[in-house]
Amino acid sequence: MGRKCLLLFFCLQLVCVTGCYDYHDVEDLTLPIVVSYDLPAKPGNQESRKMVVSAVIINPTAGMAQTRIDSMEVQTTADARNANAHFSPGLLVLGQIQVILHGENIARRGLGIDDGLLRVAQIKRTMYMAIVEGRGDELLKTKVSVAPEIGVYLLDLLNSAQRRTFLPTTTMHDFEVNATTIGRNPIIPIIKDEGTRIRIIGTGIFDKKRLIAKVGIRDTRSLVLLRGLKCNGFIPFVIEQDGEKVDEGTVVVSNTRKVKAGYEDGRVTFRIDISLKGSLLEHSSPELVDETRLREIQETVSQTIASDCRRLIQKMQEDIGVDFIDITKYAKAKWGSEIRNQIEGDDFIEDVRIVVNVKTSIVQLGQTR
Amino acid sequence: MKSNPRFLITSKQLIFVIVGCTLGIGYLTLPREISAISGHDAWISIIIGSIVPLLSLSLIAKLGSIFPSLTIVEILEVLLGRFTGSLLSILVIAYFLNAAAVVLRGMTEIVSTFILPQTPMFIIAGLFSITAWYSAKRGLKVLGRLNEIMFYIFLLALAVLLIPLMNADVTNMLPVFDANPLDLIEGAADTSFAFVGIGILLVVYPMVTRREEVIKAGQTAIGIVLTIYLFITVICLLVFGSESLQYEMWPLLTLAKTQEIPVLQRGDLFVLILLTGFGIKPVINFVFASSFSLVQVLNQEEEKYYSPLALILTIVVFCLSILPENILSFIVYQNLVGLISPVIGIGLPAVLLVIGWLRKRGATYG
Repeated sequence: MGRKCLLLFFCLQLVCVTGCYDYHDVEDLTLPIVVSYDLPAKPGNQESRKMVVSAVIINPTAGMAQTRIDSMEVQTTADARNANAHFSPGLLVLGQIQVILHGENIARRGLGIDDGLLRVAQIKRTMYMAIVEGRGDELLKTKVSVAPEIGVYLLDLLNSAQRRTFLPTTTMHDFEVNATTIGRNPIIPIIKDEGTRIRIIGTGIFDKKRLIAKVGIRDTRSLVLLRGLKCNGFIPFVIEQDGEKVDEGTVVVSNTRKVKAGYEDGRVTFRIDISLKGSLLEHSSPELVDETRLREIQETVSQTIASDCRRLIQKMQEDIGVDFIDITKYAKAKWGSEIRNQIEGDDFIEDVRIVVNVKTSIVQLGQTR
Repeated sequence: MKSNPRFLITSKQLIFVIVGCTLGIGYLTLPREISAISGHDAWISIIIGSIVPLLSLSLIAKLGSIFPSLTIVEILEVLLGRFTGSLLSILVIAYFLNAAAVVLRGMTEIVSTFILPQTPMFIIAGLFSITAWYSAKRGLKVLGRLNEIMFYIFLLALAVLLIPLMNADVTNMLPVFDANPLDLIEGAADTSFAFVGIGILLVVYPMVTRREEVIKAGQTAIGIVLTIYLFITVICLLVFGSESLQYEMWPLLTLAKTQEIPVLQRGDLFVLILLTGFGIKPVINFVFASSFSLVQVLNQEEEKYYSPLALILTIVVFCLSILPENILSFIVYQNLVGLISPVIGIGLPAVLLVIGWLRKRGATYG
């Protein structure tokens, strides 16, 4: 009798499961996959501290090809969920947001607004972030021709950037860890609408949660190499002798970084060793690639990268003033609390000495010489 | 205590009962709490903190060797008399009930936050309570097996947490021994609260078939718990760093969200589903301990009264668990129960040993 009662009790529980408080049909959901934050378009409204939240919403029953863009002016990011409820028939579920865009203006005001995304447990931490040159809501309207739909296109563009070439990929987790750790600062790729496609055009540099500077695509290469972001990318080279071009081509390399912190002449000194290892993709000279030519290619690539890196470091120390190449952590790791006050000061990165060495190893030549 | 096969476990099962009681919900927040005090040297505090449960273990084992076949309720009666003994026993039972309520509320909070945000919390707590009662009423032998099975499932959840190591940064852990020694000790004191489960030995000691192996089993259990705490703390420090960790309410679950897991997508859900069964084990174990002790306080037959009392006490645990208004008042409640745990785990056996020694009753008990 007892067992039968127990069985009946568990069966009743199973009946209740179908009417669970959190149960909803998937086709009844409003599922944003890309969200963009901007300041209001009218300059007068920008003073009101309001923002424009726009989202690419997918319709699960119609498939990925059918999406719509919802846009609303709200006080805070989470207020958009309230505004959305006024016109969107489906229940808003935020667990499928894959990409977060910030218009440049709002990024310069600061990304503290993202608290609403971090606090809700159902939202991912692996969302990819990008800064939009111009307005995010306008970029979402781009009729892309290289992909069926803007949301999936943006996701693919951003999530595989580091595997394609020397571009950064920043997730919400990366951003938060860098923004909340002393001595570290986040970077986020910048994207731009180019008619029928969207292009990554550089990198936004943050002082904690506020965008303070931008660097172009060439400096982005130096930035990711100096920051030690593991990439796989292409570097063109030109070999000149007596002012004349004798060979040109491209190598494909992956990168690693080693940083040593120490005191030299009473000054905190960072020695950054960048190592590039990869293959020769092409060279234009009819001569075969021998040991001498290979050495010349390696040296040319190393010199080009080293010179670019030194220029970016100078820019960092003289103009930008925050460590965006993520080297302060090595000083923290070496001297700990002894150097903490110095790091927390404003001019730590400006006062240190940074030495860069680049070593290139071309280990494969492909199937021709 | 009369030998009842329903309430007998092997020393191997004792290991899993202690581990199951200790690993409640503390490990979900431990990395944040300890690193708030000891910074990136939190792992050192955790190692130092494990000395406290070892002390507790040796005191309880010493008490057990003097009174080998008596539970804490019977020892209290023998040493302090029926009235005072029963009164103190009720306080010990109250502690077990509150410890169970803390774990139940903690698990309810987590499930509510991460999985079922719209389901009323009393429904979630109620479902957990039914499971806890159903398991606890079967007796310690079944609990021993349940604790063992759940432990292996828990290991699977820990294995999933290796994936976020792709975001690890070793500099987050350096330099070693950077924290102030006083901070390390304060962190160690906080860690010791995470080992509260060892107190269950006060009840289960006479139920172990080979009592000479209790100390070894206890040490093994503490070693396992220490290893798991270190594993979790080190991973959290490597991925978040001690400063960023302070922003996370449940660092271990957020950790599972830091890396996209193909197919599963939300790693935190997968980990949480594996942890849910494991997480309410302390509730089951403490409901058992309190029900069994209450039967002894009331001087009734275990076979007849244990199950109904387990049901009543599970309802009490359920009611206690839904009392805190919000997560902040729950944290206050949790800290309060944590503060009492050394009194039960160290203070009580130490005082009883001293009283026993003063009365010179030696090894003639039991």
